[in-house]
Amino acid sequence: MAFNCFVNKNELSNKLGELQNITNKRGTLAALNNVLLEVEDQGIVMTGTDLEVGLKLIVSGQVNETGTITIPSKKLFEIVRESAGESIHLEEKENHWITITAGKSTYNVAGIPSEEYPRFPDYDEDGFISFESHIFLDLVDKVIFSIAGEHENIYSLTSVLFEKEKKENGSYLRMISSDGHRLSIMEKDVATDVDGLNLSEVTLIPKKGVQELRKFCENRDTIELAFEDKQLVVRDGEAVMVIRLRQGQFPHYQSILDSIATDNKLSIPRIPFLESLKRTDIFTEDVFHTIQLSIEAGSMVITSQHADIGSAKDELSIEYEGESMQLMFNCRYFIDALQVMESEVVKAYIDTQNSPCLLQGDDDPGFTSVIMPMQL
Amino acid sequence: MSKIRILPEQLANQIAAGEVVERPASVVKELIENSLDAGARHITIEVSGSGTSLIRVVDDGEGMDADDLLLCLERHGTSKIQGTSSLAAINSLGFRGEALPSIASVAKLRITSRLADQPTGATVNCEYGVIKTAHECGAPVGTTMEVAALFGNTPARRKFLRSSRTEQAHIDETVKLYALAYPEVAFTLRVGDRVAVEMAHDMNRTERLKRIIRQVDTFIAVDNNRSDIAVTGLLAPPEHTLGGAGKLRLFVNGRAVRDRLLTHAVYEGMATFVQKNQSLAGMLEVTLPADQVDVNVHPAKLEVRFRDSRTVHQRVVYAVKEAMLGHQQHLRADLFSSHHSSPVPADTGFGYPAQVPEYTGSTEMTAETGPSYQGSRAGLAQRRFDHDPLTGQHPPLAHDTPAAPLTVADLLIIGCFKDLYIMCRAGDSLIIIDQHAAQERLIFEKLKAQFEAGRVVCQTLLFPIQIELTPLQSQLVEANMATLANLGFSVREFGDTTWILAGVPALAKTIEPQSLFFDVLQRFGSDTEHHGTHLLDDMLASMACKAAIKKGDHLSGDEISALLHQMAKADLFSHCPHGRPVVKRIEESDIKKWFSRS
Repeated sequence: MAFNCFVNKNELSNKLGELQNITNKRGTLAALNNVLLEVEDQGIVMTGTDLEVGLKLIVSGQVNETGTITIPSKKLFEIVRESAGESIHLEEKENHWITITAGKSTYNVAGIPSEEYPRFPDYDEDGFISFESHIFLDLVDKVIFSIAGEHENIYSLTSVLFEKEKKENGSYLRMISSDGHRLSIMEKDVATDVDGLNLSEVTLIPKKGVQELRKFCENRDTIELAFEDKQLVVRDGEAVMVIRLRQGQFPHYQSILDSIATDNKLSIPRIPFLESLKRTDIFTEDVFHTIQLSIEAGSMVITSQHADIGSAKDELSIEYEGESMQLMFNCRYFIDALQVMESEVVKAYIDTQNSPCLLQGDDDPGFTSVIMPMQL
Repeated sequence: MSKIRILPEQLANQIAAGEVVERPASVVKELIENSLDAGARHITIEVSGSGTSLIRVVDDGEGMDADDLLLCLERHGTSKIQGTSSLAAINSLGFRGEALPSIASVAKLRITSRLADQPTGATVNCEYGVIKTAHECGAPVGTTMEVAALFGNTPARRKFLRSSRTEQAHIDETVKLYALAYPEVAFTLRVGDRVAVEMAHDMNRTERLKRIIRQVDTFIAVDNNRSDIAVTGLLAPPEHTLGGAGKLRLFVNGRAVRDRLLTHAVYEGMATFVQKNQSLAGMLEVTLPADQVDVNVHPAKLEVRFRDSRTVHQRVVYAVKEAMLGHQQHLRADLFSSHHSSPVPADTGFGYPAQVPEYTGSTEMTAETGPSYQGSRAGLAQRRFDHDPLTGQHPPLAHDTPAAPLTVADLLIIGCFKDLYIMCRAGDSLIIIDQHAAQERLIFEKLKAQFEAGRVVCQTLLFPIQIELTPLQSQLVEANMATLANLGFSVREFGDTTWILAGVPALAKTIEPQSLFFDVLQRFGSDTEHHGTHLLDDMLASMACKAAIKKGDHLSGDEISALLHQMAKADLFSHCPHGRPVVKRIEESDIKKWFSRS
């Protein structure tokens, strides 16, 4: 059935924008570069998927005829973005041609029949729990930087571990990420009862899924969430996103936390520390980013050397009363963690030069960062 | 009644033949070995058909008397070992006394032989294990073996033979192998009326190998005999892609062998000079005291066991590396030194008055010494040049100002083609250098030197990894603890063969810790499935690749000259770390041919 409809340009442009990261994946399945358009009575349902994340959005419009087709996502986005006028007219012609009219411009786009498009995953309509979206924004932002890159070892460190916990004083959601050298944990207390969240023993959300989840939350105030066996479903009134979950094991991070002694504490002003690290980083070796921290009562000296360029040294007043220590770290790891923190003063717990360093802050409730040292 | 019976001797011999005499080439092998053990100086092999109708091996060795002729056909009749003690240190090629009775049991065999001090010789005829005649006869000094109707009584085995071309090729290869292993012995192989192999006394190994691998005219000579494990050989430069003739032939104490350990060691020694999927060609012989190697492990003695295989591996790797280093010197002398007739007065050595003073002193920055301060400065200067946005303001290109051509030692820079190939003249040849590959190797060696100099930072792991090692690997880890620590690994024992990997080199951020560890273990001689991977080298190579000038980066004359200077000073420069050649030489004579000039 050949469809024929009018939609609002800005709305279509915005929603196509949301799909761009998902649809334009290089691959062998040509259909995945397309967006599925299902023109129904109330408007167009647009679907994009890269088989890991699927997103379905509704664009309201005036529909004369219904029908379905898939067309190249990026081309459609560019057409709509560049077009003049308030309204876009889409009309299906013979042989899957689609004519798009916007103002005085007319485009003919070759579509692919929708039968070839991967089916959008089924999900259970019940069991959704509503959350304020900033909770997830915050969770993701505090851990996303330490997800492992494409290399994968025995653990599924390329994903974020998602956990819920009911404590005496309320319910908590938690995201944990690690690249094997550092660990980031973010915990948020939520007003909602989390009992209904059907998490499996190890719930792993892949990095791409976390990024898309964040984007989904950015554009919305509240979201509804449901975990199923192999997927996470997020939705609001006019959009549904299905993220496929990873199978695998995540290391027992709690035992690492338990093993860190917290009696040797440093209090470091966050912003000066961050700035100092950035300055010292200019003189670190490109791959290692190694800095030396020389810590004494009341002060910390940060130094770095580059074999070809030279060296840098920075000094910082800190609150510390313990014994002197010589430490080595990848300074990028500190920079990443300090950048997402908000406290004026960060508390660092370091025991010896071989043990992990734990970072927390009074104004960063629920956030913990663990960084492993380097050795020479 | 007892079910177990002792097999008749003829049957036992046939069974042994099944192992020893697999195909005509095996007969040739056994007979040649006998001749060599008899001290022959000239061995002639004649073959007709696929070797099944006739194989005749004529030698001028010490020969046998009439009694020995009969005894040698007895199973376990041998002159080569006397007792158990000699089995532990075998100096001859044969020793079991199995070959002749085995061959005799599956063919018609005639042996004619005469001792040097005897007026007449003797001959014995044997058909499928039964001695038919034995009598005196006239014969030249030495022994002549004639094997006819091979496998005549074992049709099943005969069916397994391939085409006569294939069988001839196997015989051909067998003779070539021994011709290489015994350069002092002359070999002639006649197949039908054709002389297939002719190796005279006065041909040394190099000449013989050239005869076998015709495409190569210079070989990399491996020669390390500074310990009781001597490694000698000739390897084709890795950029040569060769067909079947160009395989790697391995020898241990004069015996052609197939050995994965040795093959691996050769490749390891050549690592970063061989492209992926490229195979090496040439020959390599390991000579070691006879009690250090057990040759009695394979029926056809194609495999050997080393008493201390790790040491052998290390010696071979070292010898090949050393040879490659030597080869570079040779290439360097060829390219950069001043023995060509040159229109430009060449400076002595490489001390070309540098227009870029930073480069002096960068010679010290070699793999042995690690990075020196000067070396680092040179590296810095070099990088600054590569990315100089003001390239256009450098002095004009050499070819723009022919009046004052830039030279490096004897290399006259002509210019750069397509911003990738530096063209130079060296005497009567045209030298083409891939600028990217050239600098890639230089940077790679610098990175490697830094890495190996022990300035390696270890990144401790948040989740230490438990690894299971084989007992052998455990031993290796224990023995190389200090080296591993220097390389940036933090490993500790966790009982028996379980180890905890708690830290890895910070440099290797993107490599999975476990794979990296096994990769490095392999360098110490571990026999894991990770054989042949060089994760660290690969990573350094890709870093070097990123840092090096690219195709399309325009180099000014000074920059080209600086690059050539660095090449002239570097220990290794002939191939990029992925094994692609850096330098190509085209002789004037070749160019003349293109234009039909005489």
